[in-house]
Amino acid sequence: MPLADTPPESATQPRRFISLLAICTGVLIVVLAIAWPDATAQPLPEGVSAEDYERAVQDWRGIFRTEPAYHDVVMLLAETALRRRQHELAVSCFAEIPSDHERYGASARLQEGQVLITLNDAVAAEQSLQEYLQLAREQSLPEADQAVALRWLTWLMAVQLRFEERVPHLQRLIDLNQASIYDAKQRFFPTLLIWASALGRSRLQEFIAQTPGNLSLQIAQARYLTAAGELQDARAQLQLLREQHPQNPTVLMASLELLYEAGADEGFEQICTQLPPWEATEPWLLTRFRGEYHLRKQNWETASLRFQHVLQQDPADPASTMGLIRCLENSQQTPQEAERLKQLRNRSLLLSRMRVQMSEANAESPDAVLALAAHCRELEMSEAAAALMAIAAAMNTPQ
Amino acid sequence: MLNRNFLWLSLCCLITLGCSGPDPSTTSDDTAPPLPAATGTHQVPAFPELGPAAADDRDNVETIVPIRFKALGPESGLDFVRFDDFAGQHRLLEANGGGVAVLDVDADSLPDIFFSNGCRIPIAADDRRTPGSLFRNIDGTSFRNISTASGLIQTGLGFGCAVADIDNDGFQDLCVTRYGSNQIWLNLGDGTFVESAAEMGLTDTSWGSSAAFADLNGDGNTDLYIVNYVRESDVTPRLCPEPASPDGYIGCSPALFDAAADCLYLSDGQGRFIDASRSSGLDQHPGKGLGVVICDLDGDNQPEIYVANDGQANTLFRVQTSPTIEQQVAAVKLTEQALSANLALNELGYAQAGMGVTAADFDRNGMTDLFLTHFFGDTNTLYENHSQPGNLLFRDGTRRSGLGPPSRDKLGFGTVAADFNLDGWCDLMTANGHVDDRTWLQDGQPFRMNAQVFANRQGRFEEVSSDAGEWFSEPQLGRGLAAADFNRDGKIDAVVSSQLQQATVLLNQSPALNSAVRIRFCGRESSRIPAGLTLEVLSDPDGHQMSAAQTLVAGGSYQSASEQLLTIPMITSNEHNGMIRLRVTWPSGSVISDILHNGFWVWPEGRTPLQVSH
Repeated sequence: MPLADTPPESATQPRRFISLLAICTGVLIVVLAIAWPDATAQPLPEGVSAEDYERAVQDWRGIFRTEPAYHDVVMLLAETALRRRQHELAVSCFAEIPSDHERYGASARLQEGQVLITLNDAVAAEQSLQEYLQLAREQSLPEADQAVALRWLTWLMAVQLRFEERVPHLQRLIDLNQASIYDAKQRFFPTLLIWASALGRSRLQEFIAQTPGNLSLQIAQARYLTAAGELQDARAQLQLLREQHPQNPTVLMASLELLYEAGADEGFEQICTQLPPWEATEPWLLTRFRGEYHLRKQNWETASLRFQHVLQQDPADPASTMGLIRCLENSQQTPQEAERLKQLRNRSLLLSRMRVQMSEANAESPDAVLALAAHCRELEMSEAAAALMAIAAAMNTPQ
Repeated sequence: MLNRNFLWLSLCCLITLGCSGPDPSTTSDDTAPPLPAATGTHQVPAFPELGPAAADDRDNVETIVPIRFKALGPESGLDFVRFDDFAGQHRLLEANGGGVAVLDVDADSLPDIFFSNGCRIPIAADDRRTPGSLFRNIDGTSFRNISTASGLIQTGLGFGCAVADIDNDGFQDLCVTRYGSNQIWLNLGDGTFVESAAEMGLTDTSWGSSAAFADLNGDGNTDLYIVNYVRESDVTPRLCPEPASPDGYIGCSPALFDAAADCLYLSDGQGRFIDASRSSGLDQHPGKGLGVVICDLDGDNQPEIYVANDGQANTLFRVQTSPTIEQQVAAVKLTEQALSANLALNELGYAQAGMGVTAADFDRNGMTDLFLTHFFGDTNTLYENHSQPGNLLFRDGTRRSGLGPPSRDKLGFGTVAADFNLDGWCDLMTANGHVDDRTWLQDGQPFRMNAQVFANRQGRFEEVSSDAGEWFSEPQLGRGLAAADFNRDGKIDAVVSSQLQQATVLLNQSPALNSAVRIRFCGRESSRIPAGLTLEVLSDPDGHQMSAAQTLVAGGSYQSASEQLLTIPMITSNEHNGMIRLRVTWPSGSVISDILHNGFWVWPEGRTPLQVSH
């Protein structure tokens, strides 16, 4: 064996010792890193002390017989806080879980959204729920969970009177076969339902107290004031909003709604003449008020186009149906138009009946739901009819 | 990932916005270019005023005359509290009553008052504990209960009232609608009444609400229209349990009940009514009716019937008559036209909770407009009349009139239209109160509500309730409401019936700037009270040409009957005793006559008007 191939023993012994020391140090670092990793590397969620964290680690170990990662512990802390109704603490823990966390991201966003609603933080709640739904589109998350998120999100939007925005979410509930009769009514008959409820207004007030500067909430507040006949208060609110957001279509819409309700014809026309050009994506009510403006100006054709556009989005809108009737009453009537007028009048009558029947069509009354479906067929709202039939069938099926 | 999504969404938005060309339908729409985006120096125009822009100018044109009332309660002898057997189950039968009628019992020209009353439920035929009450007007400010002496003892569950001289004997008779059979109280002229409904052919046993007398087939006899509400049982009423309610129940929605068809009775001129509900086609239009007015709405000198339905489209019947020899009375066909006349739904397309209804020319365009009271959260509705003879056409003028917002926090029942301050513009009063005590819900819906007065400022209404007298600050469960000049001072007073509270006479104490001419019309060829008659003032005492028109309306308000005379305020520039020129269009035709510009007049058909008092 050539000496050159092996180091002399006197020379290799200290080297071996150094190597051993290095290995031991490495192992120690690895062990320490595994056993005590995130508490030092990651900041603790707000409201969580090192003792709380350590207790949670112990709990985890007791339950799962494994060593928890940082996010395991934080999620455990969040859910424990939720059970104890420590909602602020739960939110601060959920906030530590990133949305792209493979195991907890979606669940954290869903639960976070619901807790934030409890805390009246509508803005953050909506963001969490939207993030959850984005994840649901990317991953295959349980449909029942998606339905929960969709229902909370559409409820948040309903309180804020953002009816157009919730349509795709309500439609998603229907597509998932998760829609209740309540969801279906919101989806297909937004203007046949009473929106200016005392409960909605009171919840909005709670939301505003939490995030007073939010534009959507402020616009909704003005609209609730208008609906309650508190017109001067609504005017003061909208004056401020118009100063801050002069071109915001929803602010313009709420302003027109107030002036319409007050019968302030000159003000109504003044704002109408300052509107930006019509866009198909603008709020339906704004388009309806454009129709109303053109009606007053005897621009029957343009008025008719505006009302028809709203009816394409919301075929059960009684006000636009009435607007269209007024257009036809005033235009030169061909026999076809006369027939169309007759049809529209009958349609308005049917819609008025459906509006009264809305409360009857509830989770305990499959027959009333079927009756509503029959009306939808008469109105050629086949999608609505099919959805209502499916819901009625599910109601009749023993659980 | 979130940031990536955000960027992707932003990019999509940019692409969408950038690529979407202008929609062809945007042409000529929304005429002005968009405003520049907000900057630190950008001036946003002040938010438009909510009132009419010409308010200041209007104020300069005419002096605003206040409207004030003084309430007369039990101290005046008018001691009446309606009984509705509130027993904690919130039955629908408890919620809606009842009405008040103004009638001149003793032909002394002072209007007397009748209140319908309720009873214990289920109804016992021999229950006479809570009869309706008839009060004689002693001197305009004091009243005496003459129910027992008069024999007018309305028992059972009474609701609506209608007044007419059915038998043309010169004394006013009374119809009381009830749950079950209705009643006709014939005034015998000696201070007593006799109930004659069955003998006269009234057979319907539905739940009657309002009623109106008018000559519908033009034969000179007084016919009767009775509005029926819904089908309900007093023995096994529908109940709606609600565990959260203190009583364990909540009032059921009328939507849960089937509608009851109204009734049309045609007089045969021989003291009997013929039920024409089926032959006229009325039975084809069942509705949950609560209020009714009958008057000429399109100027064709034929009456129309307008019914306010609860949660359903209102109905408007054009009356077509076909005289026949074979039949006892001229046949009547009713054609429903509310939808095409824009009177079925409001301008938002809603079938509202029609309760009370009144008719008057509010905008002084010579046509009779209609005003209806509705539910809490909804607006009352004013329909402006734009009809031409034979072509009924109305427009919802609620918002333009200013009557919408002040009614949102009220649930209205009775309503009367009268020129309370004699300024030439017809004002409005409404009696308000909820149908069900839901204060436990804490959703802002009060049980008792203030009555309201709206002053008509040249077609635009202003609520003046807070200045109209102390009584208007006291919440009520207002139901019936009728107008009359109780103290014969030329100003129109009112009487209110409420649930759980004293009935009240409201004496009009508005400062009078103008005198008034009051005319009671007495049909001879036409029916005694010629509903539908139109009065036009052609020239005032100063010789100015005028075009104001008034119509004698049958029915109106809610389950109530107002005094049927017309009041013409006389706005004169001096105090000379000039004459005014009037044109009266009776059902039999038009006549023109000159009369002095103040005082109380009786105008018999075919004769010269007679001044009864100054």
